[in-house]
Amino acid sequence: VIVARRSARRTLARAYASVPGCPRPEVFVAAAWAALDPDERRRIESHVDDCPACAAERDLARSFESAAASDAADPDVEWIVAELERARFAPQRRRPRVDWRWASAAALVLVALGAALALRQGPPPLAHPTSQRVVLRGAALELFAPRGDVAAAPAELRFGAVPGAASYRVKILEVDDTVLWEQELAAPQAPIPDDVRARLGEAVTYRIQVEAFDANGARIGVSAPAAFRVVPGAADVAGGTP
Amino acid sequence: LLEELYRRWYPRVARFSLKISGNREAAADLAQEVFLRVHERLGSFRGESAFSTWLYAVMRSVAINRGLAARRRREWLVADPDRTRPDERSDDPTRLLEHNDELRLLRQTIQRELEPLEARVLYLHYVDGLTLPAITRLLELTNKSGAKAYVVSGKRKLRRGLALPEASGRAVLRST
Repeated sequence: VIVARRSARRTLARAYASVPGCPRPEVFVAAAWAALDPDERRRIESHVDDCPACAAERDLARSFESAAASDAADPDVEWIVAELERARFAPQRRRPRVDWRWASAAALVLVALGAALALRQGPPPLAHPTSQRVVLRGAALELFAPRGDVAAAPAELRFGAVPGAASYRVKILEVDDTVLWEQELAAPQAPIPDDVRARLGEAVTYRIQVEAFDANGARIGVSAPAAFRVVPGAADVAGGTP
Repeated sequence: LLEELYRRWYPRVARFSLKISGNREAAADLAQEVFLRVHERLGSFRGESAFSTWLYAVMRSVAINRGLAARRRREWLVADPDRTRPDERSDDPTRLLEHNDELRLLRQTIQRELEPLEARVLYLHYVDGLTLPAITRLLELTNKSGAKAYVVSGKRKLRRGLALPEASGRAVLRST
């Protein structure tokens, strides 16, 4: 059932995406549309007539426009605006709401996985002690691949070595900070496991975070924010090897 | 300037979030994430497009990623990892060719058999990952069962157009 669901979405996404010449979705926002050259506008209009994906994106953009243009009084909107104001002046990000049904299920799965790993691998490796000292700026730890749009699920993660680093910790995260993969490394590259690659959805943004540690476990570098997406047909310049 | 920008856009993003999420708590979470992202990326906004265009791109990305991530979490909580490796990643060129032919056939069937609105609803649901109630609100569908009716009729037409028996059609086009 799960395979069928994932496969159906993937298949439909590819079928919809197989028309060349789709514009970026935000082109349908009124301001962007008005800024287009008349010839380009005509080309896109003609394309949309034959492309249900772009027609749907146009609907979505229009819905945004109509919501943005409305000034009708709505108590729910006022409440949300008040929440946004409150969050802006609060010292920390508001904690996300937890769906305890899923959290409980996830906790059970993690406990089971942890127990199985502990039995298989013996005692866990020493964790890096946390340190407030960050010697290198984010830009000093450069992520090479994957970055940007890649044509296929990346097989390898590569980044620049940090002088003095004894180990690295890499993470692939979803945009809501759910950790998809985390690994301790001795070298500035690592193969991305097949099961992780299989979980990378198409056209979904993932974030990558790399930290470098010295021999004493002090954090001496952290990567600048970087992200990638698997987009079939993308010009693959950054590590999207199948 | 930033204050003014946020104040101007808070109600607009709140309204669109409400359309996507359906309740004010979830909409506030979505809107807050949008503005966190805006805040993080404001430095990359070069003014080459209107702010509304840029903000829409951020908002669309956040909303779609949240929808797809939630769907994947639901799937992985009950999935057997050994069974979920997609076989279409095979490097066998024959298989890829067959797969491309299937995609072309599916695409032609979408264009030939589906009403434009059905095709758009299927796209927003399956590809953009939006929920059926969200699509109903976003497209302002006024029929009794909203977007669900278009998904059901669209899938039925696709099965018929692809000449699939009911059972295999379910496997290819199972609803979430």
